[in-house]
Amino acid sequence: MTVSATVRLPVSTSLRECAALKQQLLVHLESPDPVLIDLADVELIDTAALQLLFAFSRERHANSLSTIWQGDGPTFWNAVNAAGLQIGDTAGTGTNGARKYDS
Amino acid sequence: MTLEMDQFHAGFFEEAFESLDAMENALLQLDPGTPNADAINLIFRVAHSIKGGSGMFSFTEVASFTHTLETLLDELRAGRMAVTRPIIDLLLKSTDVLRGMLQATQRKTPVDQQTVADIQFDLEMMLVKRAPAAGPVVAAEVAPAPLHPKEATWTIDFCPNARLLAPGADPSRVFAELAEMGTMALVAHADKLPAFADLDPEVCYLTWTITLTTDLPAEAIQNVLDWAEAECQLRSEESVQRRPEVAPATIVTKDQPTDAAPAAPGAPQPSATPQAPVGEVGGPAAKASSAESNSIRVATEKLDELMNTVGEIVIAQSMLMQLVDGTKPPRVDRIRAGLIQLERNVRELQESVMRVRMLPIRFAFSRFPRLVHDLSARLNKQIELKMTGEQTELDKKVLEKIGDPLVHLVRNSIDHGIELPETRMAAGKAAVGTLFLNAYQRGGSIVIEVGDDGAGLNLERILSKARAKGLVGQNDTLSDEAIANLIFHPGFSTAEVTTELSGRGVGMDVVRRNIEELGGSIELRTETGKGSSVVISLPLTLAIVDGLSVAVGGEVYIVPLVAIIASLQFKRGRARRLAGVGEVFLFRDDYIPIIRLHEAFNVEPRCRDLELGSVMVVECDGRKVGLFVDELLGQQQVVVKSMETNYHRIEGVSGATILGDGSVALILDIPSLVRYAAERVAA
Amino acid sequence: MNLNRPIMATKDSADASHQVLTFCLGSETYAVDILLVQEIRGWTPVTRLPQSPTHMLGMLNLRGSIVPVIDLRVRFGLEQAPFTPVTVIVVLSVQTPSGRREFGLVVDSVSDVVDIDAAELKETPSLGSKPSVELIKGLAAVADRMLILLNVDELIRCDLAQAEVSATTRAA
Repeated sequence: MTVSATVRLPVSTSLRECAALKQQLLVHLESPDPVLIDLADVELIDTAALQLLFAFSRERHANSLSTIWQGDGPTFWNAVNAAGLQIGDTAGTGTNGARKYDS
Repeated sequence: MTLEMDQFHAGFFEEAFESLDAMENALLQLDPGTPNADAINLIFRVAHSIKGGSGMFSFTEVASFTHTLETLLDELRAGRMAVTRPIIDLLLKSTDVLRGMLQATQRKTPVDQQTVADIQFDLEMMLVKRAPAAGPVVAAEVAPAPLHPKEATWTIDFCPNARLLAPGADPSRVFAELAEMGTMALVAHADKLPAFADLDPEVCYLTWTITLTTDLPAEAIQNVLDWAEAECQLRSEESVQRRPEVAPATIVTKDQPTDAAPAAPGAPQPSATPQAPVGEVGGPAAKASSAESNSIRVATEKLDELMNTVGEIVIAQSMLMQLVDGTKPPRVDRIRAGLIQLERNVRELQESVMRVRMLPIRFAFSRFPRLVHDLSARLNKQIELKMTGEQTELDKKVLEKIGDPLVHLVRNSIDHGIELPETRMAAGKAAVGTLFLNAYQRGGSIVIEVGDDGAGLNLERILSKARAKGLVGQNDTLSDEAIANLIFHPGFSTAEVTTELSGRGVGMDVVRRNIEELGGSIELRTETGKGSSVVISLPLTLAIVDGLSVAVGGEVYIVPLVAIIASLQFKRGRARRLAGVGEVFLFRDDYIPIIRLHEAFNVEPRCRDLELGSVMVVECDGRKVGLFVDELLGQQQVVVKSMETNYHRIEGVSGATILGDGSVALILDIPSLVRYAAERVAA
Repeated sequence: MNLNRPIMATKDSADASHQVLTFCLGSETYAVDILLVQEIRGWTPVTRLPQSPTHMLGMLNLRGSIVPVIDLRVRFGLEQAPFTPVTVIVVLSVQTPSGRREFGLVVDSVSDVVDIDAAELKETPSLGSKPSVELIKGLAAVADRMLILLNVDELIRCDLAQAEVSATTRAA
């Protein structure tokens, strides 16, 4: 499968980086080919960034466009769980979906 | 951005310092022998919430220290450690350290690391060598009961304010905090999320529903949420009906079912969710503590400030209205409509603020039963006091100032009004005289009546005394009413001897002056042999008055609306000149005098012909007067500004106000103008 | 001089000397304790008061407060001067037993702030026909000028506070 673009999330993906990240994602918002988001480097992530990424992926999904999350970084997925968000796409090699957090 | 953060910080610091004070107080009152469970819980909660808040704002040193403190307190709270004197002392030291840390953080000065480290070390040592406790901490006057209430499940709707994503205030901290309290699950809702292109990363569009099962009390949850409270609304609901029972020896704190408690109606069901607001948690217990009074004490300065602000708004609004008037473009109508709406809102606001300051007149009347009882005993008179309308409310300031005049009037009635029992019976009256106090609201005023069924005024004696004093000409005839009102003249006392009761120098003139200073008026009615009554009329509020603005020459005056009966345009010949009286005219069967305001105030008028201007008929004390002015300008509500603050009282003027164009207008004092006319007549 | 600005008085004047604001009336220079001066503003029309003495010009709206304004020229027996856009009102704020009072004085012009040594204050000579000698605290010589120090408390007592008159005393 051809990937139209890869967006590599920085080590610190937080509110401060959101403005730039949004611009980056905006470019690919409507590309017909799957967009790959590389999570490997992420060590710090906050709710603002999660919201942004969630919004991106949701909109693409609503338009039947594919977003792939790559990298098993626990930081990222723990944060997603902790925020009660469901991010993920049925297709793709990354971790699928988020589980509702329970202990 | 920093400004906003400081604002959030400010709230945290304020609460933190307050809770530290509460913590310190609780510690000081703690008795190692019989430690109070409530106090320990309170101390724990303080530490816990400061920890949470400081964590949220990344005040890491504070958070870390408080964490250790909290751990120790948890041990105490759970009864796993005994409360000893050394521990209390250490906790007090910790309070000091914490206070210091918070102050340093607030002022952005360095924290005293050494002291912090020392105390923290001591806390940790305490934890290490914990002594086994004698048993669970004893709640006051109750057989020992476990402190932990049963678990309950809470549902929290977490809806952050838009700016919540600013640094340091990430909701995930709140979630982490809550997760520590028990078992938590949460779901995010994205329905408010806009299109990606329109998304502002700094704004939080997400909301959350959090389900938390915990054994901690509601306040603990509330505390955590309080730190985010400034930025979110939440609804804590109990999803389980608490067991209403309490341990046999009832305490007014928590419901704590002990093992010995009879079988409860049923174990907590996680599913059934009768909604109950947080306040009702814990059944009757929490009700007792949350059933605080429905009122709070408010410093009067705050109320004054409020009133001032409302007054300023009224002025500002009338200034805006002025700007709008006289401009024509179509948009003006919408602006005007908006202003009219604003006027309505302001009026409501003003009425609410006014109501805050109102107190029932009962407070002023309350001294009278005793007073009447004592005085009548002393004078060997039999007097029954009847009070009605005590719940009538009036402005606090007015209430304070009305006390003395009322006392004087009551004393007068008892001293001079009501006769001795023998005298009464000889006159065919009941031996017991009646003194009545009545208050009611009429229109924009409060009316207070003080009266008796005594002998009434001796009009003959008053008249001859007035003649003797030269107040009344030998040949002048006065109506009964006019004679009666003569007693308001200074230095006028019909009692031959100033009795000890009525006092010296406190004549009816002072009473009248006091009433008029409040913007009110006073009237005396009497019937010889039957009794007298004094009727006082006071404005509902001192501060704002409905008035009609009038022009005299280049000056604008405000006439209080309540005093106006009619406004007339004269036809030639309507006014007559009566010798010794001046100009009068016929108004509804009576000839009433005319006061030319331009003469009274020494202003150059625009017209001197009565037909070219307007005559306003005003009334006070039952007397009417026609005020001649150039022109009526319009009705408006004005904020009364005192003349006495920076100047002094002037006859004929009851205050000043600031008009829409910023200029000062004087508010007419109708009672004194009316009196001026009457005395001019008598002169 | 920048009109309409509030003056911040420095409170660290020692007891021995204090600062005064000087202003002109006719050919004389007067002075008033700087700590009492709240602000200096230009002339705006005031609302006349009925039955008031000639030197009482009327009431001014000072940001919502009703403040009386006195024409000092008239008060000191000088001829009244016409009011122009550069006429100055010195607004004083004084703490009295009955609270804080504000009032304005119309003067010709305002000069500068000067240090006065209290010890060097001289008595007002009793000769002279000035009708308002009681309003003067004393005289001070500062750099070739003679400053006439205003007695503000007396001014309030005479002109601004209600005299103890019974209620019926009134000009008809």
